[in-house]
Amino acid sequence: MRRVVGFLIVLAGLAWPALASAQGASQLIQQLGGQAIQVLQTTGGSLEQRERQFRAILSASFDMPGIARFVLGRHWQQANDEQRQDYVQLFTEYVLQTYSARLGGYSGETLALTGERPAGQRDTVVTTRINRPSGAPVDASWRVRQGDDSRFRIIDVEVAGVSMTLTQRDEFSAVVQRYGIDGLNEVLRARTTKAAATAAR
Amino acid sequence: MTWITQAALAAVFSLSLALPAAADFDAGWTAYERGDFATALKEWQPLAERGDRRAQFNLGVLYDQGKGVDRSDKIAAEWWLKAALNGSALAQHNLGQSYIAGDGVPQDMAMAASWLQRAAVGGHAPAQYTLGKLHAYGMGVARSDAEALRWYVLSADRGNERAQYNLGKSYRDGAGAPKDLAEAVKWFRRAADAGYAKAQSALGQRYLKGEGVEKNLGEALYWTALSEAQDLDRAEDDRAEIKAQMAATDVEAVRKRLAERGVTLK
Repeated sequence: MRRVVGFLIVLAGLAWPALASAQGASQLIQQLGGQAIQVLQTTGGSLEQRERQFRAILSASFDMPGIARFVLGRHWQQANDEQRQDYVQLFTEYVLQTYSARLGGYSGETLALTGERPAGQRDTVVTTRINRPSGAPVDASWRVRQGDDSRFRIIDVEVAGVSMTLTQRDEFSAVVQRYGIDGLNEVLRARTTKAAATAAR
Repeated sequence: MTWITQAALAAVFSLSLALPAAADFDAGWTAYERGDFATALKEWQPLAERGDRRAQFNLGVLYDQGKGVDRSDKIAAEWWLKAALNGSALAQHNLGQSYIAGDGVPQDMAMAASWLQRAAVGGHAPAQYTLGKLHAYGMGVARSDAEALRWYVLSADRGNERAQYNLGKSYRDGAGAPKDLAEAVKWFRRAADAGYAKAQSALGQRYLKGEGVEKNLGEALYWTALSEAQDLDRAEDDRAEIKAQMAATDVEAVRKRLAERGVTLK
């Protein structure tokens, strides 16, 4: 996850190539990028406002409940209703917070669509390249699935060949084995409730 | 060399060296609010190095979130440690959270509890709440509902909604204190009024069951619908169940009350 979140900055200031496919999956990623630029170009908003806007955009683009459940893997079965409810809520908060924090500031990265390919029975992987003002470019790919409601949503992100969901699955599984589901929920709560920067004395 | 000696040396050096340009906390804050994290970093770094705990804490946040710098939870934890040793309750809290999560430090619940305790004793409400949770689950400390309750009470009194909700649950279930349904309702209500979804749902259930408060389906529907508006999972089923037991005119009255708060009853 740590390495994977690096891609987030991504959506800032993108230069989309003309090859834009009409396909739903590519369109979703493209829209995500376009909306991100819009938020960044809106001057006058506070950092908090921008982060909130990114949150809404991300929330609509990712299949959070599906990802949350996949990441918990076989442990989902042993969780009771309240633990599941807490977990999905905390996981969603964790992902949205991490991502929107990254996007709230402009870092000069640009992202270009580099292709798309089918994956499995129902998914499409959209590949992108992130160019950074400092450092080598990073390749990120976005796995997109069309839901029963026919909307496209992101179900995984891979950066430099590392899958966000598989990385999280390994990490979470180790925590659950040691501290149980309640312990995992505390870990996610710890990550999402750190105090923010402040000007107060 | 101990850190105290190092700190003393650093203090002496900082007195003898002129600062490069004027490091300005407020200029850093203005830049931060603009999203110009590189400037914030530039302003705060010299202050942090001189031992300003507020700048040290904020630098930790920049590294934790990868703002203006490559993300590093290890460097974040290092700055929070410095600020924590300087007495910053925020940093003590965040360092405790880092130990729970294993972010930048090895996952260590006992260390987490020890840092949270420092912040909690200083009156930091979120740390008091989390410390209560660690006691409730026996993570890094001996499991004790009574000790958990003690921290929830302190945190709840300071307005922490999560603690208020957990205090409600403790009284409802008789965990750490004798069961007291009226007291449970009081704390659920406190957090529900503040907008905490889980507490709104719990309060709705108290009204539905008439436990600790007189049974009232209208109130049950009202609070459950408020939690549903915040996407609480179980609320949809609960709301349907309550609504099915009510007369249409009573449902309409609740719908109107909710509309005044900008909430649409489903």
